[in-house]
Amino acid sequence: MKQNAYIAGIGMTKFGKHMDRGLKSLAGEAITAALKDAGIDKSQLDAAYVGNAAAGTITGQVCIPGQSVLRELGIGRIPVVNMENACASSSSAFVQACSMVTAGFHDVVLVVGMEKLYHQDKERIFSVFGGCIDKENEAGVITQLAENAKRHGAQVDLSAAGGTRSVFMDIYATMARDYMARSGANVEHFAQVSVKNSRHGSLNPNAQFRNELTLEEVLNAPLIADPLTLPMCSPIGDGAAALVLVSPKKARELGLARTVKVSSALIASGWDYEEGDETVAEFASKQAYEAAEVGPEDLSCIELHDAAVPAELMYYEYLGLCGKNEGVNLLMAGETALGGRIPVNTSGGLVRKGHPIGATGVAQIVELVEQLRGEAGKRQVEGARIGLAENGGGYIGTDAAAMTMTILSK
Amino acid sequence: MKQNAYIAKTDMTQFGKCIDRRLKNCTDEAIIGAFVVNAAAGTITVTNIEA
Repeated sequence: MKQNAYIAGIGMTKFGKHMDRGLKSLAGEAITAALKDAGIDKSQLDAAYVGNAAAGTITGQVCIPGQSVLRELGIGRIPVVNMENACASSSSAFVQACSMVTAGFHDVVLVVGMEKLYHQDKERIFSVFGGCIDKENEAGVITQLAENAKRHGAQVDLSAAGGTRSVFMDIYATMARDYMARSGANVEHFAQVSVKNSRHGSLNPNAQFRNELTLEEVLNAPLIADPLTLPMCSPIGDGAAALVLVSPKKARELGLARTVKVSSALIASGWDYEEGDETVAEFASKQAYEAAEVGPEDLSCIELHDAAVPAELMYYEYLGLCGKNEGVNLLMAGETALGGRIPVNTSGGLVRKGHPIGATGVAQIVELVEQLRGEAGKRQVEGARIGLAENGGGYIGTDAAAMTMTILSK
Repeated sequence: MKQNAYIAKTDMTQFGKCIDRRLKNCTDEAIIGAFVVNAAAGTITVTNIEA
């Protein structure tokens, strides 16, 4: 979907374990920073779109999380829209906000992603992830996971899935095994993605993990779901990210000089694939490229949904950065590392920057804006002009239930 | 906020205590009923839905 909106300000908290802070505190920090960065007062806001997925489970704030947080900051009267789309909640909020600006309904819109996942009760945390699949088909998903493990000869204790670990790591493990079988990728290649993203994350002051990892450290770490070790999986985390969108007219009126244009932004949903169907990521990226009138060869940097690292290699292919089953070659040639042809996850990605699920989508946009403004410090991609963000949410059938695709340009 | 859109058809389930029914079941009933299949009004099916 072609968009015509500009990002005027960004802000985010450091992602990590914030046991002593609530959603109001985290979101308040990000929102205040984004408004200050834009040079816009809260009284100028026409609307707010707020993405959150887990508050109902973790804090009991089942409804109106956005209004609860914004009222504390003195933001009222305007429409506040709450958005839930699993891990793609805040990017979905972003797409809706862009569409309202593009359609001419609003001139200044606040977009927020916020999440608290840490809780003393681990089962409660993992039940959030268990709620990101089709609950009426939960038994079917477990059967699907078991059949995949048996087919590939993997040793997996599925009784732990959803109880002492996220069921999504079992889902990503099945994708990893299938990818290994069809592409020739091996566990060392997956580990190399973790190593690359740890290098990127070490340069990001807002990343949950700042330490660089070696190949040996990744390979020798505890196994979560065969073949995924701990650093190959995104962590539990708390955090918030926010941005201010403005119309072209308002950007001119206010003389905003550091804006970044939203060229395209869309939400797609998965479907029951038939033989030969493209994936939802291929479907969505083609639409995003067409609407922005660019191709994968035009991209300067990418933030993508590496909830577990094998996904990064698959998305290289789905986004058209390389041919089918060539993701490993792209990685090993160094093309997706900082200094390479098309750096991916310069923020550290979900595995190192962290993945407070409702905040992730906006945080990806924050990273791209910093890159396109030339303000990314030591992780700056030289001459960055066009960036793409891909954010997946939930799982139904054999792929993401929701997916957003965004292209920004300088 | 001025709007310019048209409602083609509506439907709903009976509200109440539906212990033996789940969200999919209730929602499907309302959605299927809301599709327009009418020579005069035109035909709108799942393939026409854009969002």
